Amino acid sequence: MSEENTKAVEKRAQEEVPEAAVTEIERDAYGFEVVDNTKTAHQDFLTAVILMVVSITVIIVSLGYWKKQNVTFYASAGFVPVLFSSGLLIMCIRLLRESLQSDSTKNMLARIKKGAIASVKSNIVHRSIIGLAIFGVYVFFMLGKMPFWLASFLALSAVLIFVRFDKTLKTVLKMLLIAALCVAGIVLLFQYAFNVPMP
Amino acid sequence: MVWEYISQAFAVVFTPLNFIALAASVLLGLVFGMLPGLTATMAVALLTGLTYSLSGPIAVMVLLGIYIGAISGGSQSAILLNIPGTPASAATAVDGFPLAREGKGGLAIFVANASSFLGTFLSIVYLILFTPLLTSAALKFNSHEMFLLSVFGIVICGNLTSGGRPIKGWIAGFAGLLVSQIGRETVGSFPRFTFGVMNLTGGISLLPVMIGLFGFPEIVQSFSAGLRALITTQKFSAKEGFTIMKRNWFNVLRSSILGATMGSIPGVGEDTGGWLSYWAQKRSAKNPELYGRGAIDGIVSAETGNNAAVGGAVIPVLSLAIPGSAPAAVLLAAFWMHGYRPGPLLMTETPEFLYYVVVFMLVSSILMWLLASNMSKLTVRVLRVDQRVLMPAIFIACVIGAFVVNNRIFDVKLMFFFGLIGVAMSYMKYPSAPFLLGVILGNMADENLRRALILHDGSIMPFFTRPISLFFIVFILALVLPQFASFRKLMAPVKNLFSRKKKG
Repeated sequence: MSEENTKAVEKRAQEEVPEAAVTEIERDAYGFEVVDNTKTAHQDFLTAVILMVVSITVIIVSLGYWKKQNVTFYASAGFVPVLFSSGLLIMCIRLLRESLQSDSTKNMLARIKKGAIASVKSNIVHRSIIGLAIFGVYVFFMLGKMPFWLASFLALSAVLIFVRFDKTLKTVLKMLLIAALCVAGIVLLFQYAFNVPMP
Repeated sequence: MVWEYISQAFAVVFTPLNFIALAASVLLGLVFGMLPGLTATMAVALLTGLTYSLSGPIAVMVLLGIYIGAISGGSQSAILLNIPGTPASAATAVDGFPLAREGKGGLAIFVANASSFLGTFLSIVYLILFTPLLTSAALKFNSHEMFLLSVFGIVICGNLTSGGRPIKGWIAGFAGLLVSQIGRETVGSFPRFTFGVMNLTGGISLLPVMIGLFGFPEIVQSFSAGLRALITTQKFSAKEGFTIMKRNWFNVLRSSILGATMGSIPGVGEDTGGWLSYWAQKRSAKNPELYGRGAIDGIVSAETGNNAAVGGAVIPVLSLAIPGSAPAAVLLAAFWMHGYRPGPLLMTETPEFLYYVVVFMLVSSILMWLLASNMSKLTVRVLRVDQRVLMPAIFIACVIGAFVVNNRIFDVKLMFFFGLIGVAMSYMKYPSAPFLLGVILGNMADENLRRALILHDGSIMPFFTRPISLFFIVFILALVLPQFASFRKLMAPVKNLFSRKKKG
């Protein structure tokens, strides 16, 4: 990269991440970036445990396929899933070990609990869950049960009014109009221009 | 004779009506590629039906136009929305989106378009010059190499996208590999992990996974209160763009070779071409730590690589009748439908066909550049819209994208499910790209590993005795082993020895 571009990227990076992380990137003996794992240790701990359970379940189910098929192990349908999940299990054990090196199990559980409580109280999380719930209802209960344009209009209106809600009728009407135009545009483009079937 | 064929092909292209048809198909391809969920494969497949009544050369021209347009168009949404329009543009989003957030979306798209053009153009040159060479190399890949190539893809992608923690990238990749195992396996048609759900027997469709993983985190983020449009645009001079391209001449050349090679290997495709080129550029860069934060050279390599794979993917189609990628597979079917017989006999039965393809691709790539550059002004404006309004509308488009793959609501539900996984992965700081690559490569890995073992009575020795296979093993180990402290400790004296020699 040119010097000018390099400087521009560095400037942006400094604005985005803490100064210490950019000014001097710590590298190990092999030249790899040393990342501060302590901040995400409780998240790593949680995902490692969940994925370890998943891997072990997959291994057990896959061995069942081998028994069922009654063929050589490497030819059975369960062979590759066992291989992949074993790999995943080993990596999760390593991730778990790394996370536990930064803190004790007890503290880790306390951090997870604290994080969960903070998420429950967070306004951003609330908004995300409500938005997702509206789309969830749209995907699981409305699509296929009513005309696509109607289901989409209702869902889109609900989401837009929710995200832009400011207790004025003007905004509500504006959002309804935007939703109607969006759905009409999408249906026209896909159904009539591209001849794509609608759900 | 060759010049006669070439002039005939130009005559076909520059007939006014045909030229308009080509321009329209390239534009349609760009729109398909740009819209999240509508892929190049889908674009070629949908248009194949519409070209049924057209004459052979015109139909081929239109289909190549839409293919080239769609692969390039994916970069626009990757840069502006962080949602790759096609899987091939996933590597573009890594540096494109940070640039767009800084108001440099227009410049990023300009550079991406120029790189796409150069990638396609150079791949056309390779198509003419290196067809026999690349074809013979790809023919040497048997099951052992194909399996290792899948593992190699996951390891590379994990390394590239994990932000300094490859283990998290690999975990995501292996999770994707496990997801790909759902459904009937290809060797014995045995249903795996379907749990009695009929819709799962056909496996997990790639598109719902892709849309969910990449689109959902952005959509959910837009629900947050007070979030205004992040993308602002600043004017840029074309001169600046050309200077960047001039500086990246070697990057373009290397990426085009890597992309075309990846494209020519059956089953690998444009996405691996883009990732591998990006990886090569990052490895050779003076400031690799800046990649992922808005390094424009990363966009050059990713876009050149994925577009060069288009020409690469056509090479085995023409010479062996084996498609290099999913869109190329649809293209092959379209060629057959229009009376062409690609394969070893192509040059004796229809010798003009190769030159027709070359000319059509060349004109399509020029048109793609011109149209995409003009369209980018419009797409940049689209992003000025409040994201809280734009993203929910995009969700509706994503629903259609997930639905049209198999025309079933189940795929929309799958998209929602993988969307939740995508949100969780984003929150837990796991990269989504290796997961997606795992889903893409999983079946290839499964089929080829078991086939390799069955053919050699369970012996793993051929993995170590075949030169290409051994090369892959060494490469994979070189990427994996340095992550282990014990290995680094073991290698420290060797490293010190070299550094002392350098100092001395």
